[in-house]
Amino acid sequence: MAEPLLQLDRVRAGYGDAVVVDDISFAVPEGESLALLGRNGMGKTTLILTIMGQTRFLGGKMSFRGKRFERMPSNARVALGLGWAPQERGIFASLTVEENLAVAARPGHWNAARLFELFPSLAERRRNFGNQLSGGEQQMLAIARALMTNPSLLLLDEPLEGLAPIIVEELMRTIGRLAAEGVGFVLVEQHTQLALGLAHHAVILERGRVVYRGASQGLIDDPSVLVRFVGLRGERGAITPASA
Amino acid sequence: MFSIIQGIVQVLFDGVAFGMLLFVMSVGLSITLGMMRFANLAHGVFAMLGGYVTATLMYRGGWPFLVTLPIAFGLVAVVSVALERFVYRRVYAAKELDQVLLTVGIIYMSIAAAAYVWGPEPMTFTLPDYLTVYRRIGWFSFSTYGALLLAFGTVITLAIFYGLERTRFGAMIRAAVDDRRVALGMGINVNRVFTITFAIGSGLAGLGGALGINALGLDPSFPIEYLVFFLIVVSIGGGGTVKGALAASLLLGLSDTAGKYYVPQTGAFIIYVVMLLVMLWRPNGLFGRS
Repeated sequence: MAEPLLQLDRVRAGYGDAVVVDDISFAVPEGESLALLGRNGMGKTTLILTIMGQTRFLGGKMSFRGKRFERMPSNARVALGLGWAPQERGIFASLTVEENLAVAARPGHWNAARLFELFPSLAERRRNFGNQLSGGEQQMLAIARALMTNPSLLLLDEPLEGLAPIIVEELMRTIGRLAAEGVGFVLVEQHTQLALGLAHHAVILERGRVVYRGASQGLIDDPSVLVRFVGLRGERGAITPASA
Repeated sequence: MFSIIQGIVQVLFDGVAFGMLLFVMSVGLSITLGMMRFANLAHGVFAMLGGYVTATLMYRGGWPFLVTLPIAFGLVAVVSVALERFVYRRVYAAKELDQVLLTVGIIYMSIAAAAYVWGPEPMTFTLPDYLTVYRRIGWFSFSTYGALLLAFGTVITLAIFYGLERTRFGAMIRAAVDDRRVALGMGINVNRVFTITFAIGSGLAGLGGALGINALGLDPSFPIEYLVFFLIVVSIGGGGTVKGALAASLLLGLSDTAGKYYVPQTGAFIIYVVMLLVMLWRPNGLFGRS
């Protein structure tokens, strides 16, 4: 059986003495994607930050294409193939759009020209500084900047949060296009139905622990788990995969 | 009327030259403070070391003044990398008080070391002849040494701005100053960027100490004596901003020179008044972030 792209095995992490996520295990196969779901404060962002090496790692194993990385610094994880679009976007305010992309550049398929094709509105604002962009533009830039690292797996932490519906639609189309091109991702999203429509697999966290791990289709077919752990009021068939 | 204009031009020339010198010496402190939130109060030690390197090479080795300048820059940069790797790196995550105690300790160790090696007395220093003459352009006369400070300061300032604003490495420095955590998450090796920046900043302090040896004087108490200038530059400018450091240095240079020129009895206190006023007006500094 092929080595999974990302594998977490009984991971435990937090901040200071506080344990926020515990006993987390899941795998993301190459070219596939995973929706990380759960109510607010259940540890989704902490888990993303743990994968990026920005929390206190307390135990377990994390590997990428079979290579253990839990002791690596964040920048080395990027070199390994992890791309990150942080929840708060983290746009460098004193850098222009072009510079935000340039500082993250690594050799590979994605470069500024391709990304400006993917996000035409960023191309128009390439000389604007990070703090001169709208929320939607900042989110596009956060995703574009993560792609500039030419990752094998993108970690998208609530990319649709606080955006106007029209921007949400645009970003969803873009993420769908990336998925179709074989870019794997872990997607943390409050828009559960949208996330399940995009991702092959799903993990639900409840108080820092995994309470569901399986195919997204399983949750689409039987939304009772979502109703219980995510608070979603759904009906069978209400969620449609984007690829369908 | 003529003498008033002549006085103003003289103050502007000397003030800007002194301001440039301060900028060269303190810009490294401003950037490292912004990038790593590390308060290196011992920054003046690098400037002192640069001064002693130049003085030693000139007096004991007979080297020409201008040739000693790049050596002062390089040697201080190398020493600073060793200090950063083996001492400072351990306290980046420590509390500010620990950083202050450590760096103040380094100041006193360096004062003792300098007094042991070069003696406790101020270093007597004679500039080369071509830097001791006065030139005249129309009715305005200026020292060639002042012109040298101004020329070096301008070239270095332009180089710093070019490096920071027009190169990828400069963008990486600004990214790390903006958000160190996200910069790491974008694959930027912030530690390496910081080490290189620290080396350049310290080397510039060494170069400033060497260049300013005649204007500032040199003795083992240099790091304490000029610490207040470096801190005022960072406070007025706002940590982590080169524009702020430049504006603050020029303001400080001009106000100090003007104070000593027009009100010699109290001129040395003008810089503190200026600092107070700026702090009341903009508590985060001229270009500081809230």
